[in-house]
Amino acid sequence: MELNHSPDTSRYARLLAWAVRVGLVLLALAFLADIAGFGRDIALERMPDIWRAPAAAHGRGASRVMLVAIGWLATCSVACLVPLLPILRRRGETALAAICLLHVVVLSVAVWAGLH
Amino acid sequence: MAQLAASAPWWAWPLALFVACFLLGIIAVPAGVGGGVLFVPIVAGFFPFHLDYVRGAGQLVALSGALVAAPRLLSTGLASLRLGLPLGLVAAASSIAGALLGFAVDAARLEVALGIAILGIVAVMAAARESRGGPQRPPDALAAALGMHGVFVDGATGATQPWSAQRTPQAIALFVLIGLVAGLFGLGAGWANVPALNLLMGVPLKLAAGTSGLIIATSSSSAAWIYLHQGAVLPVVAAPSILGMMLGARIGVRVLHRARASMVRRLVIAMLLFAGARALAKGMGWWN
Repeated sequence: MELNHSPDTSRYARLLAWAVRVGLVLLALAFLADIAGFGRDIALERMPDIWRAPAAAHGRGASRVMLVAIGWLATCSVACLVPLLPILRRRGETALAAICLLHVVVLSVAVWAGLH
Repeated sequence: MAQLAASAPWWAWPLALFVACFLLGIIAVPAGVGGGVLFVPIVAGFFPFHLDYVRGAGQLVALSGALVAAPRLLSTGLASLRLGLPLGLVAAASSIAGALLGFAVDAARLEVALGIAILGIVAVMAAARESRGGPQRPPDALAAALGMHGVFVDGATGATQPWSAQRTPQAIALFVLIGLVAGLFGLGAGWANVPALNLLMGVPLKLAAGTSGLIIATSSSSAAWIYLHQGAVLPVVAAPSILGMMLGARIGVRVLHRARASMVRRLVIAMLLFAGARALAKGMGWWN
């Protein structure tokens, strides 16, 4: 146990726990929707042709619902840092606040770089 | 293997993947490694999926496992936000470069590089020993500025251990490399984070292991977006992998109490040695 446990750590842990729960439920629902054929353009029987070829050969492999679920999971650890910013500012922890902001910038770059 | 892949019905492979990941999840926990480092070389070596999808699923396996564990690690004080966020930031930035590089390199060359990386990881795992730390030293200037110090209480023994990060600039440079390799192969990075935090920075081993989960939760997110947009996330590959690994990890926690950790660790090293050699041989065209 870390003795100098701070309120920002507890808040981040609580937020992240909820965000991850929502993300995992979304992922399970998205997978069921994908198997049922909702939002998927490729028949399941054709999957062996898809998974043997490079990703670039077929473009997006995941359905739109799956993109939402995985996008949520790939964003939540950084998005949950944003509500910490006012707390860190009030406590004068500018270095940590700057690092949280930089996390948001790096994730935005990843989203942008993936699209281009 | 190619004949088997061609004759089996489509659903047999996701089902086999689920079973394999369930078994990997059982041994990953007591061996003290994240799922990604076992998942990528083994699935790339023995399943018919293209390496792009294996790397994409590996990234998500590592991310999901870390995300599920991070809140509990933080709330029980087994992970430090002030230690994990700066290191996670540099690893996240370099993992973007790693993931993009992986899509620019030919699959056979990437397979060779994966084999070499896995054999390197085996060497790190075999050589790593716990640093119990010497006399308490003040944090270096950068660690002091970032608040990378504290007091850790071992829940098992009740022992109190003040800690402060050492050699932070060198650690940041190392985490750039760790993020690059993790993003390139979709490995996650517990295998490297824990020795870097414990041996280089002098962080207590349990706090290093917990903070490693937080670092993966933040750094894998960026690379996951690259894999997602490059079309390397295939639900029939990713979902059975994540579900199998998570269910297996729940059994693994029970195994942790009964099995000898050193024996499980030796088993993992042997499996990685075989999987690394297989990836190398496949990439070189010696064993397809």
